[in-house]
Amino acid sequence: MSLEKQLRDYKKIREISPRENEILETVRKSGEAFFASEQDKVLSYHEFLWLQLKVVRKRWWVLQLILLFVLGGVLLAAQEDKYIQRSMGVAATLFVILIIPEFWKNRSCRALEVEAVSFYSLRQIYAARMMLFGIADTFLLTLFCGSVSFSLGVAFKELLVQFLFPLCVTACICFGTLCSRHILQEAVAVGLCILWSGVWLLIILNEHIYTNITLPVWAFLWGLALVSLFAALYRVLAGCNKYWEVSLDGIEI
Amino acid sequence: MELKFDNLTKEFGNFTAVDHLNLTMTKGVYGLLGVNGAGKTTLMRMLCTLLKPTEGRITCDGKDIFEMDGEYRKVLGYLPQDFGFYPEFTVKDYLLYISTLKGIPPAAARKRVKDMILKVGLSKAANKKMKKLSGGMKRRVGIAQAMLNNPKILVLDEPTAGLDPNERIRFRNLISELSEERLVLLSTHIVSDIEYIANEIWLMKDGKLMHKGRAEELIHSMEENVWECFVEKDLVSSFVKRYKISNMKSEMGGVTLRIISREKPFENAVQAEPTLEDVFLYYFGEKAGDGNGAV
Repeated sequence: MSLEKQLRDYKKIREISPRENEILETVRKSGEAFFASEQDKVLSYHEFLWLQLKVVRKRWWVLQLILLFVLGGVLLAAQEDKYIQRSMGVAATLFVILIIPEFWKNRSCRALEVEAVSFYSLRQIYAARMMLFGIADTFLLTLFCGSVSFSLGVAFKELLVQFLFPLCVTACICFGTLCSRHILQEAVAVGLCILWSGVWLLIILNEHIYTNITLPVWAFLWGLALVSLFAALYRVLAGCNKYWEVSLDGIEI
Repeated sequence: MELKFDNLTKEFGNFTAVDHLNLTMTKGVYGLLGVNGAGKTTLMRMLCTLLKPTEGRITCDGKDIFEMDGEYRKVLGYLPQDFGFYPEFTVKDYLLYISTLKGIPPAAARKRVKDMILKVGLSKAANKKMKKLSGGMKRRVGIAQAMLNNPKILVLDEPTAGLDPNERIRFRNLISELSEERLVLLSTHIVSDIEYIANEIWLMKDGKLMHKGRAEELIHSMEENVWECFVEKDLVSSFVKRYKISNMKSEMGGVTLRIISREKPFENAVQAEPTLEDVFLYYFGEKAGDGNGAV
């Protein structure tokens, strides 16, 4: 008997015909074991952040990007018109308004109660959303300010006063409304932002007022707005678990 | 697992919603019964850490639930009275989203969501948007989200409100099935829901616990009797003024009344077996009947 034949015979003897049922059973048990071990684990905060990113509707970021493009185009078309440059504040208000629907989502859909009793608290949910929006908006604004500054030669001081300052004030209004213990509608926040936008336009288009405000005053106002924004953000995080303290069975008392 | 209310009090300004409650809960279904404004929702919200007690504390196996923070919420499932959701999400996506908030890793979440969808009978609607669901289906999603983390403590606030009789029965059976191996606190003002599934019933009024016990114990706690009598229609209003009427049924030539009274209210009245609904009226009659005692 040749070695080759011997090997063939040996292979035939050793051949195992797998049983379908046993394979399926093994797969099922492996799945169960994996599921059991996964169930004991807790989602880490960075995984939670990543999953929050997946849930956030990206359409608002796309709209913000489109808004900045349009603003860039308008500025390009009216390079010499200082009044148009000063009107950037209106776009800044709109830019912030675009984050309201996503931030207000759990309030407007009355999903707060379910979210607040989850393992990740309402504070952590808001913190995650703030971080995601903060990163995305900082990126978009840096891109916009950088390109406008380079291509159109708009001074950083002008951008700071005419765009970033009203933006910061609008954000203060939004988060200030959001952190209110009384459940205010999104419309209230939008209304206040539009009101602010009107006031801002009156200030900025009035040559007398605008030219009389000196740089240190602008810097002070800018600093004040920034501090207020951080205070509002802190209040949202600190007070979001107290929303139910004002109502009894849904009735405010 | 043992949950304990220790001198639990909640005040909203001058109004005391929950007044010095001392109770202990272990495994089983606890039914919380009371009229609107009795403090049921406030009690449940405190149990879910949404509201902080003004006085007293709630402990879970000896530890303060507010100090336990996430560790406590990990074993908690809650279906609020006003169950909010994201209308644009599909049922599956919504449940996956809630799994994330509950800290369940993605692989386990997918399996758990699939199991829960099957359990609440929503397999065909799994990919439907939440806004397209009927009231009963939404409540089923509500119970599914509460059960995602396989909670040891399940708090259900008015889970059957707004459901049709078929849905209510289905829901009751589902809660009964889910109540094995866990502690369930169920609040409602629909007496029959509690009568069927609760191991212990708590009667709450003005933030205080009036009575607790099994349905039969509560029925026996009544110090008045239940009577049934057939009276002419003209006499009904005088009976309503004098007695607590738990039921009225118009029939040819008159009305059959179910009266709660210590004495026999009428010569032809026949004593009837009291039910939990009679107990409810006996304790909460004034409010339930807008002051005239009728339900």
